Amino acid sequence: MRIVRDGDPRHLGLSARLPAFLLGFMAASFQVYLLREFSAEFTGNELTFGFVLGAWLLWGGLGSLVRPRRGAVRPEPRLARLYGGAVILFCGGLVLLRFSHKLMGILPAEATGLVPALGFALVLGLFLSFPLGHAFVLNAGFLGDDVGLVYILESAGAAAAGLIVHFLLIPRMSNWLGAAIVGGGAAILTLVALRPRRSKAILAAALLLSAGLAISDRTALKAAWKPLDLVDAEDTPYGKLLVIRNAEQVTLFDNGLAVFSRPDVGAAEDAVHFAMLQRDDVERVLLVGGTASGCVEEVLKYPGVRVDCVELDPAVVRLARKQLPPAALAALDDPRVHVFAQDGRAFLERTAERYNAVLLNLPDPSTTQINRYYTREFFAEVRKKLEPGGVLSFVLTGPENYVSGAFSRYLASIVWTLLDVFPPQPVVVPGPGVVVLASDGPLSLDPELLSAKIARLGLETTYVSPAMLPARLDPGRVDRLTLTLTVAAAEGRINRDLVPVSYYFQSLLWAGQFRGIEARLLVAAGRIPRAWILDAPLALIALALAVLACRLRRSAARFLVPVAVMGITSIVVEVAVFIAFQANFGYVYGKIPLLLAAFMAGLVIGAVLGRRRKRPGQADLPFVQGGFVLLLAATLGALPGRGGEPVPFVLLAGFGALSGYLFVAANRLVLRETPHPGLGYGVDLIASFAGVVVASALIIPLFGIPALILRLAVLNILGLAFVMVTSSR
Amino acid sequence: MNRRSFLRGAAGAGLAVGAGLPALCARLAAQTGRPNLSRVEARYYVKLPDREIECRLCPRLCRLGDKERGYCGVRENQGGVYYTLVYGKACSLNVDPIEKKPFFHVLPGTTALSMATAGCNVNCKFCQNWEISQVRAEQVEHFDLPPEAAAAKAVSAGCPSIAYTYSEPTVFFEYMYDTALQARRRGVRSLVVTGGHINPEPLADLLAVVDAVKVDLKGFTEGFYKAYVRGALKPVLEAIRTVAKSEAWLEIVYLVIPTLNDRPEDIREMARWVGNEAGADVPLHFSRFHPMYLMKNLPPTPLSTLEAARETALGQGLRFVYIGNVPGHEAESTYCPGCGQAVIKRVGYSIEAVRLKKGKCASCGTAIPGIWA
Repeated sequence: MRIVRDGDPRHLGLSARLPAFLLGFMAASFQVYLLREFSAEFTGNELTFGFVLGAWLLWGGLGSLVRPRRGAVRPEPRLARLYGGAVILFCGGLVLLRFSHKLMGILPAEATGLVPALGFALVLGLFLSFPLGHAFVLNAGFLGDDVGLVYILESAGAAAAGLIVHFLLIPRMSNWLGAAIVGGGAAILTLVALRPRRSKAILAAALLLSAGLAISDRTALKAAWKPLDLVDAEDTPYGKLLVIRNAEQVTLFDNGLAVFSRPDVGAAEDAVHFAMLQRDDVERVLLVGGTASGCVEEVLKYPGVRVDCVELDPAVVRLARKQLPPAALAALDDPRVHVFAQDGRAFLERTAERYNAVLLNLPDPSTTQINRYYTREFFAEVRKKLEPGGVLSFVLTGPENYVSGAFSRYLASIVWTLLDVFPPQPVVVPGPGVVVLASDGPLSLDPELLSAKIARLGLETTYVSPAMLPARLDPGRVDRLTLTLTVAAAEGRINRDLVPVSYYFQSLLWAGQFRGIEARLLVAAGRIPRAWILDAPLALIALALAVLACRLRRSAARFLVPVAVMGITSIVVEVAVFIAFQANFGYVYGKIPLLLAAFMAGLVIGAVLGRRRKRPGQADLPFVQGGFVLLLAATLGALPGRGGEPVPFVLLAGFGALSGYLFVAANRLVLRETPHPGLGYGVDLIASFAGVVVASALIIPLFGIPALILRLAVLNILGLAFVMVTSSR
Repeated sequence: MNRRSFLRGAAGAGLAVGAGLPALCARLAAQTGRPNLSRVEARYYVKLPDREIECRLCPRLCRLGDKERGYCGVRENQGGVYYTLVYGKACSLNVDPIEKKPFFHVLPGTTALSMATAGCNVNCKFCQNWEISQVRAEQVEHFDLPPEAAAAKAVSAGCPSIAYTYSEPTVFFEYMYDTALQARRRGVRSLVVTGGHINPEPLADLLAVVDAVKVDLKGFTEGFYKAYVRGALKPVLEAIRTVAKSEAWLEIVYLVIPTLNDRPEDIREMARWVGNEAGADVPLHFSRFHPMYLMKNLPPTPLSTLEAARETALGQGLRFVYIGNVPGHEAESTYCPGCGQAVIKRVGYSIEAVRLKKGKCASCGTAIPGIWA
């Protein structure tokens, strides 16, 4: 293996380091764009996110475990081919995702389950992340087997990618254009850094394909969405917005979920009228979501109201204005209406206004982000901002003619949570949209009463109307739904920001649509006793560590154990802090990438410090491992938002620093005996895979984040014990 | 420990988990407690050697070995005898306006006791009741409702009819048939809401005990049925012909799904076929599609598409063509084909006016076919 040394007259120091930096940049930016496109194609919830990320980590880890061929002298040509190939596969992966539904032989609008999503994630991970994982090993050879340096440069590249992609590219251009710039840039930089003689064709192909991506986005979208007529599209920081037109019907999708379809007043009427009809004196209304869905028009039918509309993504309203006739959105220009582009929960927490009605027009809690609007914390905030007798209303997707056990438990988790804040029993309106109403005042589902009010006010309604209310509010249906709720609510789980039980139940409902294994897996997971998932694995790990401590007592492989523990810890803490941050401080684009950047910056600093130690730091490991335990304890305390916004940044930077230091220190110790430069990195990634999958698929939905962090702390205590026992030998 | 032994151990552990996980999950996911299922011998099947049977209820003609379940998920071969698992076991029971089924020419303004069990013999990707249709019998909570109790319930609830609906009543044929018999004894009519995937013999038997059938004609091409229903068009058309020739009243619903079955030429063909094969007096409903089940992200049907479909069908000579799922639309009402007056004014599920005298237009005396009393 050719060794590059600083000062080698044939290579500048910077260009020698560039490939490793580029590796991190490519891996991180490819991951971001693939995840964004994945979410749009597979209507991402956190289960799919977890599996996609997990697949990426798994294949990357396996790739880094592959040793380079013996006798290979120059890694540069292989690196150049690999990087060029990665760009080509990245472009191909994006195209594959774009046409994924067509490849599966289904409509673009058709829902898919976990199995197809997992299949695509595994394939993409294999072809992209595996070679990039192997590139880590090649870069180590390129830099004289200095794994620590590769790690530092790769992390720095990933951090740079996070900042550039999230702050420069995503806010300004479509995913494919941004991906083209990243891919093309990577191809050019590879040419500059490696100056390959024979791999120019691959790099040229990479450049061409990147250019092709840049110019074919809209064409590919239209082709992928046939037979539907796609008339507009925009990639915003929050997701992919698509507008479909069919005759006069205009439908807007956000990451594959329909936001509105107009004209169609059913959803808007459900969201507005059951709540507004409860009181005679509604003046101030807060509408969260649904600004362009027709909800504003329905609210303005009531005399004397003023409406504050909060919409997270301003592009929704912008696209709606562009595609709908002006009259359709004239209500937004009414002086009684104010539109705010921000996170709805953050708005509610900061406003000094009080409202007579708070109307949520949001999707079901299919992600922890959306789950924030169905938690005790949020309902308590709503109650503070409601006038006495004010009404909260939201609509959940539900079955009309049969209330399954799964739906009962889902609805009950939300109603039980509401009961904790609004003592009188919330009422639920049966239907394909189940309307939930809560108030500290009386609520009525008497169809005659509501119909009389509609007539008195002269409201022109179609679905919430005297003609339809008697059937909709049939006492038998209402009573049956209420009875099943009462039975299911006996389980009494409250939905919280950090313990998102409703998200778990909603995932069960979602999975039940597909006839695959996902529903059975999720149901089975919910029935496994808590101790089996949370505590038994820790007991097994303790046992395994005890055995390993005996068997590896003289082997340098024992230092892979703290690397594995670090791998699990770092990724899971990142996920947990992201979720907690959004719950406490709102969903603001840009904050999450900054959090990630804080972690990566810490990683680089920690790795640099670790590398500067002249001798491998065996004695340091217990202190570093102990540092993880302390930081986890601090994280547990900070989860509810104590200390304000800076705290998560500081925590993640700290975790990053400890992770970087530990990796470099432990890896040096491993390399003393096992000259496989990718071994430590591989173990790190594979452990991260296990951590993210178990955390996002099992522990967070079932038990919440505090339970997760506590078990992580125990895991790290076990790791600390292992390190202390084995380091003393 | 060296790498080889580690990899061996990890592979072994992985295989063990992979082999055991599905079984463990299935066991854990299975309903706790014994499911409330029936064991009543099914009709319309033949016994074959080696304890096999062939079901003859629907065009699928499931050939099943011992312990195997039919495609519908609610009928099972047990030791060479075929059983229905949902006889007397309802999972959904509601009192609905008859217009919701929809039946527009049957007892307008009344309510129908609407009942269903689990199961279905097709897999529509837009099913409104997938929670009970796209599942096996034990995946749904059934309660006991024997046929005589169902009929009594209709009487006590003031419902002049029972509708077998929501899922696919063909798959609970025996239960439906016996309930219809009981209902008839009490003067309660029976209405069947079906996708039409039923064989001629059971259909003929059923028509002798029920009063009205509404067939969901989901599309008018075999390709549509194959891709989006996992069924076939031909048997449905046969079923429609059979019902049209019988004494039972027939109505047809065509759910118009954007880009899938809304081509004007398909609708024209369908309307022409209905007029020729079932008769110009058969009410045809063009229903507006709303996002549902696996098609939750397909847009609703534009109103202009529904109105164009209606015009096409009227142009093909059909006399009673409606638009459904658009409350307040004028095409919800029934118009006299003689004088054009609205003989039944509907808004949503409500009847605002009825101008019929003994089944004839109150204005001009034209007979309006249907079951009016």
